Amino acid sequence: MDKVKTFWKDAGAGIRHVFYTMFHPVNGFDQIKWEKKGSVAACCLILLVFFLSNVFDQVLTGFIFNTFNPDRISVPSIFLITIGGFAIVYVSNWAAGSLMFSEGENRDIFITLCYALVPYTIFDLIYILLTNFANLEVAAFLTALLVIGFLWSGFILVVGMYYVHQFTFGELLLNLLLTAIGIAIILFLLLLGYSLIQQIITFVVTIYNEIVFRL
Amino acid sequence: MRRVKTIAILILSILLLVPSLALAEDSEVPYQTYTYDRWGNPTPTPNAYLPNRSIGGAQLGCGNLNNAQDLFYSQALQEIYVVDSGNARILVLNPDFTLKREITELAGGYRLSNPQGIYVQDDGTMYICDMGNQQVVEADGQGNLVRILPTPESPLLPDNFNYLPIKVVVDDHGRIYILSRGIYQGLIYLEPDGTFIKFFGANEVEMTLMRSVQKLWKSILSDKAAASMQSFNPIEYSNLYMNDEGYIFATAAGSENGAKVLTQLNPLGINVLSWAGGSETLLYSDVVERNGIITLLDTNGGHLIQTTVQRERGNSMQITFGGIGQQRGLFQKPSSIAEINGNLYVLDAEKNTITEFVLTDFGREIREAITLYNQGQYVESIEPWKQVVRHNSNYLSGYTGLGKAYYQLGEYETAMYYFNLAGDRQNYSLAFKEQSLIVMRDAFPYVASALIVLVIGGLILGRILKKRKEVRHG
Repeated sequence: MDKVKTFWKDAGAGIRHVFYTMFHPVNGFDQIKWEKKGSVAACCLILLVFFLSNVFDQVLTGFIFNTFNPDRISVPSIFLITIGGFAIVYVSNWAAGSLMFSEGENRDIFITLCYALVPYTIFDLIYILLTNFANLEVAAFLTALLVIGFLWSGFILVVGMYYVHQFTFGELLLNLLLTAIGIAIILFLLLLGYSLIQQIITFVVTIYNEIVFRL
Repeated sequence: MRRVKTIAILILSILLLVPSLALAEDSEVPYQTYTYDRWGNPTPTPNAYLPNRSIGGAQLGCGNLNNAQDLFYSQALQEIYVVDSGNARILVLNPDFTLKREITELAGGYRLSNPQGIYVQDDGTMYICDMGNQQVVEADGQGNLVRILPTPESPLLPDNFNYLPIKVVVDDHGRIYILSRGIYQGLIYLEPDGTFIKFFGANEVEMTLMRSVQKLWKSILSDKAAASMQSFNPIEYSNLYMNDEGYIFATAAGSENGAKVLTQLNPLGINVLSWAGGSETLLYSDVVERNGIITLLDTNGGHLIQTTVQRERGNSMQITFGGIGQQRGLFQKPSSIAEINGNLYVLDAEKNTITEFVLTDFGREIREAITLYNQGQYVESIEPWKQVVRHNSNYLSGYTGLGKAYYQLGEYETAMYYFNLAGDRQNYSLAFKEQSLIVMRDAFPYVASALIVLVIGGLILGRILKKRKEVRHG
């Protein structure tokens, strides 16, 4: 019972720390790095909300602003794009950090990347809510909301990377560039693996058919 | 027993025929009429027109047609003109498609040679594009030659100008617009006395990034090298039609260089049609317009495409039917269309027939509704639109029409419902704005009084608490 209580307490503290970091990124990331604040559980919750906000984007956006064909909405593919995309960025950034002898730990990188999603997700949810009460005349303000969220997220990401990896500014830019290259390589490998597996499956199926027909 | 069995089988097999009898009317039509849903996918729709009969030379009693190129209907004269190019003659028909007279030679000994187009003014004056003789001739209602329009002469004309007039229209003031084959600069625009003024209403060349880059290269390269590069000429027109208001509709066969396949030219020669009018695969060969409803003829797919002059964004009020084939209702090489009392007549240059398409109930309802809608009588168009969407719930324009009607009536919630069905975001937004204003106005007294109560209550509570504090610390 105590264990459950401490878990919830930790999660609560973690979530409070997320919002603290949104407004005080320098202090917040310092605490993550040196005082081991912030919780992985809270970050998983952020990822879940991020995924859900992307689903809501297509499902709950008001009719005037919703350009998605309801016949074409696929939750699994949204899951792949959001959570899978996050995983690729995370792995790539971790790899790029290791290459450059960063001081960032695995846990810190994960938490930083999750924290960076928060402003955009919050503004996106507000946007989705408001689209149900807005007409086209205020469309520009709603788009501005999304842009603010995006810029804020970008700011948090840069500050977080800077503190977690303990880079100079030049190294940080190089790290971001390497991360982008890493993402491209991972996608290429995934595509390669996908087509190879497809060929192997076809090969096995062909052999199976040959044997079955000849028996 | 055996007899009973035989009878039973007989009855059963007759019963099997019943569904096919019910479908008999539909199966007579060799094509599927379709429209588009809000995502741009083709959706089947009930037939708006049915092929009724095909009229050939034999039915008219004047020998077979040969490569007939133009069909013209004069409402004022109640006469139909068929330009039978291969036989170098013009047939004048009554509206019930019986032969009235046949013009092979204009009085004065002028023989036509491969005529391609005709325009008849309300007083019966005929302008005939006599392509074989490379000139446009004017004749009066009795078929007497009035004059031969001289070949245009101007420094504006290209050096290798070959005058091949194929279509002509004449406005109320007698100004003549001639379409000459191979001239992409526009229509040849003549004064009533036949002198050349200018080229009129050339099709547009859209400036794309690719073309800007090529233009840059052309300015760098020598003149000789630049001349060998691809040139950006507007595409030439394929046919002309002048509507009752004097607008010229011009079609183009294909839309390379971003040219419009359909343009509506105002008296200044500027295109006033707000939409592009189709994709690159469409080779339009003719167009008619009546009451804001446009019917286009696509030679490539043998399709008749019916749409409207005014179109809402993201909402193509369109039905398409016809096709290539031998059956009645399909075409080999359709060359011209005419609209007579709501029915469509398509001239085929290879089948050498005129196919008559009559309106179905569905088509008639659409026309009625669109006509009212285009006149802005949205409220009156409610009933026809309801009939239309009852026949075909996929006909989105019906929902737009209903939405506009209810918007005008001030029933914004109903309007929103229909705009939603139509996928019409712009109009939905307008109705939504009005509706939310109403909701806010209705809620205002309650919200305001609640606020007042809260504020006063808060003030009183604050004072009481303050007093208690004072008493306690007192």
